[in-house]
Amino acid sequence: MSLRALWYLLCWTPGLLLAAAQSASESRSGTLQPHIQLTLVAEHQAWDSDTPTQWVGLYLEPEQDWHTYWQNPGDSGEAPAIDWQLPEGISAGDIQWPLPQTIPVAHLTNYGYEGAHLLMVPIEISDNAHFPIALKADISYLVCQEDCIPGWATLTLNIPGSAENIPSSSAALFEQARKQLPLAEVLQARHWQAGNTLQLALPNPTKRQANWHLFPLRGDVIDHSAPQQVVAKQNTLTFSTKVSDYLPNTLPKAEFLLSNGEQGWYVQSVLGAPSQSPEGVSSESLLLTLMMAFLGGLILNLMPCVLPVLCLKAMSFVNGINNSIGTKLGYGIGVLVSFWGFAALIALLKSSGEALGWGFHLQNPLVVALLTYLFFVIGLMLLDILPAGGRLAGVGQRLTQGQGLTPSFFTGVLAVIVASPCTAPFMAAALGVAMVSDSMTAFLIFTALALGFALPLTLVAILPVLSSFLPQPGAWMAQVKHLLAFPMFATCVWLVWIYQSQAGGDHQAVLLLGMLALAMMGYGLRLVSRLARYGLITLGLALAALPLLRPAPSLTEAATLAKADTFSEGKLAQLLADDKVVFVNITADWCISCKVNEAVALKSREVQAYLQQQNVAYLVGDWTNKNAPLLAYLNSFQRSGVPLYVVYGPGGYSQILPQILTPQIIINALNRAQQRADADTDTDY
Amino acid sequence: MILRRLTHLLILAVGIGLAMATQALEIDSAAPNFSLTDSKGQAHALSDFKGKTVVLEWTNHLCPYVQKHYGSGNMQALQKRYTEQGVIWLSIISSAPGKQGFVSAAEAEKLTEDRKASPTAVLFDPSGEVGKLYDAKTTPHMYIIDEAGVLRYAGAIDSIKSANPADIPKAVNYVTAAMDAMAKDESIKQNMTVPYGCSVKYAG
Repeated sequence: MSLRALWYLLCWTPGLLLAAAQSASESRSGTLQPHIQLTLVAEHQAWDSDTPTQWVGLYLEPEQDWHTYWQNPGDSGEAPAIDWQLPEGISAGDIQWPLPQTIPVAHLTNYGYEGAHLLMVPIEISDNAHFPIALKADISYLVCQEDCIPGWATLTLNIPGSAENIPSSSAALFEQARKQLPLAEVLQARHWQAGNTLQLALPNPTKRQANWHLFPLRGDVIDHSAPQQVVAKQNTLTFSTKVSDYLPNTLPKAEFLLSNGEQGWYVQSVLGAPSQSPEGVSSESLLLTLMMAFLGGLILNLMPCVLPVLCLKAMSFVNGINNSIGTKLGYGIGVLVSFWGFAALIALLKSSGEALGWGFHLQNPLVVALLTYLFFVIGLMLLDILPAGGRLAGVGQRLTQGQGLTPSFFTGVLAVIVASPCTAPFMAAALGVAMVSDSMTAFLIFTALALGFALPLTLVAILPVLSSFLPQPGAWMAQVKHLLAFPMFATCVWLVWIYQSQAGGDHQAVLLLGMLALAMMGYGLRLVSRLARYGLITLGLALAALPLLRPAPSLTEAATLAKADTFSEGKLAQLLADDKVVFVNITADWCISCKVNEAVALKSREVQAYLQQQNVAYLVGDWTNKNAPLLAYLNSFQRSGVPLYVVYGPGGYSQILPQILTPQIIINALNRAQQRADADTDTDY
Repeated sequence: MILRRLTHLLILAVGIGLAMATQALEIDSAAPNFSLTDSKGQAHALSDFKGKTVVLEWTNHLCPYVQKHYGSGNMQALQKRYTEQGVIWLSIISSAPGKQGFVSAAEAEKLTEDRKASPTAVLFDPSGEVGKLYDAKTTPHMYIIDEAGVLRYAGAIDSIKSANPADIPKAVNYVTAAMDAMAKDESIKQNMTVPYGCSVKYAG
């Protein structure tokens, strides 16, 4: 008791003293009630008679752990009410409620406020009002910890007139309270009922994932304690929750407050069937996606598997000073046509029901083997082992060398083919949209990608001025060229490693043998003896053809991180039904960022310790080889590439994590899901 | 697209399942049976009262909203009026041990005497089992079960949600309205209302 008295003393004495000090202007009048301090405050201590609307407020300061209620108190409780006694010419508007919080009480749920808060009320002043204005408020309220105490109080303010509005000592409270109010925009929603479930769809005001919660303005609409399942998309939020037992037969209109804990919006919902229009890409987000694709194309120029080829071509532009128009534009056209080719191929394969995603060609061991050869041969040429005379040789040699439309065009084509292993991790999001969109959208995205990709080199070709930004040709070029071979070989190492996980060690040995044969062939081309030359070349070709003639069987291999279960939608649903927190990792051996994330974040001790907790499950989906169910799962997130990381929690909670992870990002996400789990067991018991 | 639709369907199905699992109570269908011990140590089952109208009143004598109706004599008047007509009036305490409103049998007897209340019996539900069976949310929370054992009314005692006794004469009493309608064999206009008051002090 003495503690409580001390607490009161500490907390309220300054307030009371302040109130006493302010009594002259009477812009503040307070009363100390059991477990709560109530103060009627005005934003301005003197009012300009020309200002039609002034703000006053009821400042409630419940004792620690005590709370008061929102306009809909939830399962029990009562919202504060103010009955105004006002002079002629003055009227009071509705209370402006700050964003409430959910307050669980055993298995019931209340909506209200723990801690001090201001209930703002607009006061309208008409011309026939006389100053000073006496505002009298009869207040009734309920303050609760678990037990409740109702209270009544009458507070009055006397506001003098003034030539201008003079801020009171409480003005800062109003400033702060305005930040806690719902935003002015009212969202329009549709709701429909299926049995005891109410579903509601509305635009996603932040375009983000968050802890979305719907607070009904009326007490008889939805079950306050039932979990709310939210499907948060960029453009829409869909809520599913249990209807209130007290719901009248039909609900033609309903009002809610949508909150993410920081911002709130009032929602007006009308009864109506869910919109049948597919959740396609809106024009606004299409533009954004196209910009991203364009930027992504630009960045591709810097990729280690692209840059060497482009440097060579840029040098050739510098050599040929009077480039023809064909030379200038050939490269860009080549890139465009190649990307269009991809788009057409994807459209074709999609329509034929082939399961694929970006990087799909890497799922075929044969394609991986061919790409390995390509990079290896380019590397050999860069090292001058293959007699390409410093230019690209082999199949593309004649096509890509020299000046004119055709060589430039084929350089573009080659650049695209070379770029493909690099695009998968970087462009997954944009390409994902293309995969699940109609062919026209996909075509536009690929076009944007191509334009971004082709821009730098095309600029160099068109504007000779820009060539001055390029390094002057010289002896150093040979050295640079030799150095550029190593990114090529690095790419080979990566591809060979993928091949191993796709086809197994034996086939990998055959592939390595093939690479050896290519090197032999390169050496053979320089031999003077015709017999030895053709012999070596034939032997080389035969050996190199081996892995291509005997296509390796695809191995299905689950990723082997400790304690990881193989992902399937069934398994996921089962774990979620058991109220588990689930971390889903969709990865592939050929995805470098996946591997980096695994090494840096997923395999870190903190994360592994977290994943080994009882109620946390870790699911890994391996997308190294083609897999239709995984593609469907990726597509459901508008992705068609990896990595994809998703954290699930009870109550329909889900969050997509960024493609670049840190241990902290994972742990924060798991914590949030965990909190959802704890909150659910509290309220849903 | 198909997957997305399937996901929606799944959520819907889970939601309906959840709702059905928790929705034991329905107006105009059989009231679930229960058995509780009263303040005299006697056990009562709902089924014992077949053929009689039964009123269930969830209560907690320290709750200001209960005090509103007892302090003003409103609750006692209802109890007297209907028990005299042969109606069974059961006051149920679902407060868990240690929580507000939890009382011993002797305290409950004394409360009835002091407040001049006249329920047929005061029943103890410290586990909260019956309270949850009836989805009792607040004190007071009122239920009416007819002679055939059918639940006819569930909800608030009256139409003004406040702790102020001065509001009682201004309010529409839903219990009286329902009983009047049942006596005249008419349908009850408002047979389910949002209850108001303190939360039932369940364990946990």
